[in-house]
Amino acid sequence: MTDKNNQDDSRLVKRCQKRDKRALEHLYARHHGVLYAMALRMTGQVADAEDIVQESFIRAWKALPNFRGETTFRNWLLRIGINLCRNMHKRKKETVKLQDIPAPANDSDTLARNWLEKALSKLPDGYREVLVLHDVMDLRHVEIAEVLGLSVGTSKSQLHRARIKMRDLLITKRNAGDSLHTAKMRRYR
Amino acid sequence: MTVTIRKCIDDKVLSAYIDEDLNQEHTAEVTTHLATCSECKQIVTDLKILKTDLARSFHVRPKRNLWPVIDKKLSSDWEGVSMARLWLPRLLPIPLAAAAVLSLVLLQRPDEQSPVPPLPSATELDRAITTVQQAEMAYLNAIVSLERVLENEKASFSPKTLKIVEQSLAEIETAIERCRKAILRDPSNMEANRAMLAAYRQKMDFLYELVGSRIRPKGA
Repeated sequence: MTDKNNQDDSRLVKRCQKRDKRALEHLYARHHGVLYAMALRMTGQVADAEDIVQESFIRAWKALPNFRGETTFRNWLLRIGINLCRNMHKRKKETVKLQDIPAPANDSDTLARNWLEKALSKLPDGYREVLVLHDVMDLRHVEIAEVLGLSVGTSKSQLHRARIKMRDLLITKRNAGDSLHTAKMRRYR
Repeated sequence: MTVTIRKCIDDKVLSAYIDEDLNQEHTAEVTTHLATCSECKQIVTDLKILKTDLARSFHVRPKRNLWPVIDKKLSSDWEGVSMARLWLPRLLPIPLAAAAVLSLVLLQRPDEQSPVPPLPSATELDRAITTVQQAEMAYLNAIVSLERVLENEKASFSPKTLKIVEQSLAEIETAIERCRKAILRDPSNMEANRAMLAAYRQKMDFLYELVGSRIRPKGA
C-alpha cells in the first residue's frame, strides 16, 4: 500500500473512533476485496468468506477505539480476518484426503482451480496463511510478519515449505495418473 | 507419499529465485545452472506455475455487496447504547432494592475512552435480567395505581396543565417504548434495561408529583 493510502486510512480510522459509521463504510469499500480474497483462499467457500468479511468489519468497529496505529489498518484488518479463518477452520476440521483431490486438468500450464483450493486446504494453517498472503495477495515478508506476528525469517521459511508441500501434492497426483495409464496399457497388450 | 527429487540447488534457493529475492550474482549462478539441469528446471517450472495460478486467483470480488448486512448488525447494536445515553443524563436516582442490586451486578457506564464495555458472565446477566423484570413489574404496579388516581383528578386540572401533563407522559412513554424495542432485539443489552427502568422511575415520580397528595396512606 502507498503512503497516501495509509494516510487516508488513518483519517478514516480517526473518524471511526469518533463513531462515524460512514468512515467505516469507506474503509469497507477500500479493503473488503482484499479481505474477501484472503478469506476465500483460506476457507475455499464463498459463504464462509462472506461471513468472515462481515464479522471482521463488525469486530474492527468494536475494537477501533483501542487501535493505536501500530500497524496499517489493512494489516490489522487482515489479522482479524485470519484469526476468524483459523477459528472457522478448527470448528469445521475439514480433512481432505489426498486421493479426494482430483488430478489437475492440465498441469503443463495451469492447474484446475478446484485442485488449487483443495490442495490449499490440505496445508497446515501456518503454511497456508503465508502462501496465501504472499502469492495470492502479494504482501511482502515484512508485512506478512506484521499480520501474522512472525519474524521475516519464519515467514520466508514457511513460504518455502508451503510451496514444496504444494508441489509434492502435484507430483503425487501426476504419478498416480501415470500409474493408472500404465496399468491400463498392460491390460490391453 | 512425498516424492524426493535429487536436486543440485537447495529448493529454498529456488523458491527465493522465483521471487527475485536473490542478489544479482546468485541469480546469475542459478540461471546458468537451470540451463543444464532438467531436474532443478522442473522444480522451478512447477513452483512458477503454482505461484502464477495463486496470483491469478486473487482477482475475486464478493458477488454481492456485504455492507448493508454489516450496517444492519452495527445499527442494532448501536441503537440500544445510544438510546440509553439519551436518557441517562435525565435520570433520577433509582432507590428501589431491585435497582440497587442491578447496579451492583451490572458494569459501570463506559467512559469515553472505551465505549465498548466488557460483558458480564451469563449467570450475572440472567440474574440482572430477572432483577430488571422484577423492578419493571414493581414500577408498573405503582404507575397503574397513580394513573387511576390521576384519572379521577384530571377534571380539577386546567386545560393548559392537562396538555403539559399529557405531553410529558407521552414523551416518557416514547422513551420506554424505544428501550423495550432495543431489549426485544437483545435482552442482554443492559444499557437499554437501565434506561428503561430509569424512564419508569421518571414516570412514577412525575405521577406522584401530580397526585401524591391525594393518595391516602394505608389505614387512614
